[in-house]
Amino acid sequence: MSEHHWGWLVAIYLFLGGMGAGSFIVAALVELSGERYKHKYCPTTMVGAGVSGPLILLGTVLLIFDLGAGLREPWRILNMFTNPQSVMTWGIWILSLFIPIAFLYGILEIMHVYPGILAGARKRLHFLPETLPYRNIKRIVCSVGIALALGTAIYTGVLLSVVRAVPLWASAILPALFLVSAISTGMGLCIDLAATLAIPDVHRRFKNLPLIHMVLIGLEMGLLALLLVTALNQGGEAARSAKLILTGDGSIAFWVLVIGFGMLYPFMVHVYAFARHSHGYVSGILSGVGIIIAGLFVRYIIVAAAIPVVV
Amino acid sequence: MSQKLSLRSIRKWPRWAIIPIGLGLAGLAIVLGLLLEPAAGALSPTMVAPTPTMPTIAYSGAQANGCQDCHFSLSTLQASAADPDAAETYLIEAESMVTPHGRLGCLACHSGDGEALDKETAHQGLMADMSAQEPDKCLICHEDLPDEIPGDRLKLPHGALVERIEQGQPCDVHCSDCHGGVGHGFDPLSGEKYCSMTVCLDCHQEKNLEIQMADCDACHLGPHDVATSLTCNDCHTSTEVWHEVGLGIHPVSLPGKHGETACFQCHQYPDFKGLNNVCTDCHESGHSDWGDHDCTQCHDPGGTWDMTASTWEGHIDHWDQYKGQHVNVACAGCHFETYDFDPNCSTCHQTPDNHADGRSEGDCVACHQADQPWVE
Repeated sequence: MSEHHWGWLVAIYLFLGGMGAGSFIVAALVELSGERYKHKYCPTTMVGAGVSGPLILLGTVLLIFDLGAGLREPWRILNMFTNPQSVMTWGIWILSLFIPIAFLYGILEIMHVYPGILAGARKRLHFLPETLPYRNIKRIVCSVGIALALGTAIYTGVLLSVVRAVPLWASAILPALFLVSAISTGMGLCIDLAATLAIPDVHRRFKNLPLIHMVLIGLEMGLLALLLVTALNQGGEAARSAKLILTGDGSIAFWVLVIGFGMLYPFMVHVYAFARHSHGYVSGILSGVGIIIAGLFVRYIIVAAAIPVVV
Repeated sequence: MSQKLSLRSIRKWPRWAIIPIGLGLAGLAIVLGLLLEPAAGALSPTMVAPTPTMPTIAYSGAQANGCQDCHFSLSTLQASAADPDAAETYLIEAESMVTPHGRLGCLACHSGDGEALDKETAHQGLMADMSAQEPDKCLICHEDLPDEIPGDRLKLPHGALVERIEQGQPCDVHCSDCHGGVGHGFDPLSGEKYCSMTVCLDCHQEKNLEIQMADCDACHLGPHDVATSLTCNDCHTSTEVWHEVGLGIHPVSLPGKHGETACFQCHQYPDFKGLNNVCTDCHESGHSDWGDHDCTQCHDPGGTWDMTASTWEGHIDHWDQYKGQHVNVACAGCHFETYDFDPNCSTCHQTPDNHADGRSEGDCVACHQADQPWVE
């Protein structure tokens, strides 16, 4: 696309932040609902807890890298903690709290699945207990972490929506869209992709999973449509940004990768799964790939289609 | 069949392997996106690129390499300048391009043609100071400007200026008058000063503005409620450093080092009401069994620390015979042991021979007063 005010680096940051938060939310909901304990092994919580921390951390590093000044004088980031009027300060507080929580959840989940880790640690650190009340600890971590994960997912949208100079972004729809997309990509990664790879019929474990998927994809399509229609009706730079996405430089990426492969295809797979209570192994994985690709490109085309106001 | 084989082999992997697989898949999705985007872009219908009406939002880097070719090099500037001696004025430090404003690129503020190969074309439509010629462009980013900065105790004319700019009215004051350094080296995050007060005063005098030097309250948010007794100038003698205080007046004399002590070492901040410290908070008392915290009852803070007992007017309240020649006696003349030592007349005076009848029994004041002739 012709005007890259913020480029791929920011889009990938928003994507990783969203998917990390979404993965945490999915895993934590499976944990809190007790679904995790209905089977001997739950790959959804394993992958969700395991990847959320690294994904968010990687995204944050990319953001610091993009800021430039953060590399030259990294201590400047401390200034960002003390300006409550800035949405970035909210974000940095949320991220600073969420990253350790996400890593803690990952470590607890791995230790829960592999009790030998604690036993091995006890050989050197004798003060450690024989076992830990993992479920109770994780319940607390997940409860706190879900709030922070929601904050992270919403923040990735708020970060753009406060830029009033770009009318396409300056919309309350964007945080909602990014939140739904975050949960959707989290499900795509944790369930459709990773968990399906580990246990091909994992989708059978969650009775309403296809319905949840359909609702999320439908909601995401609706919010995306609302964003673009609002921008078209608004006119000016907002409409020009929307046209750039719908019929301009970003149109193939939008219609093929986001709408076609990333939304309609997974939607149809889950409609089929909902009706037949099953879907194919490959179609499940491809559905996950599509959802994740859509999550990435939704953010990229919105970032890249920014046209600032005319003065 | 091959699918079943591969599934079986996947299920034999350790359970933790799902984590690196998940991370890898996320990475693969990003790589796939990066690969697909150029292809998708190439297949997309090409629209007429929207005119970047305000390229100031582009954070991707400087947009005018042509400007840098000359303005980063003093020798190149000197070679092309009409006055080589003045060339340094137009030299831009390369580091300034990585500041927040520098990253907007030269053209964002100065216009011109960044791709032109000759100086004349490059400078066509050039704006030396965008804030003077097109101040509304500054407001794209700087819309919510504060009217007060409590941390710096400053009142600012931002609101009135923004209103005039938005209404298209001419302004005598431009952003660059105070924030001139922002484009070339000044970095707001570093916390450097925007401009000194001398700049404000010079400008106000030059333009004969209504607010002049004496109107401190017009620009400053003073913390002290002393308007009825003091003016700012009484203490604040510097227009450059607010904390540089020269003591203009003080209700009592502050001799010696006291005159060099910061105000709020002694007074309570911010309104000078009451004292924070008494003498013994700073000075060690030489006599723990005597006197109170107000050493000036006996000691003269302006002179030497040696006592001048006659200056203690309150002594008469403690001893009614502290009069006559007694006031000329040094303190230690009577209190030669400790200040708790309470002398009586016979401590210093011998009982006269004609009092051998024991009439006084040490209580001389029954008949005599220290400030009256003794013979009576």
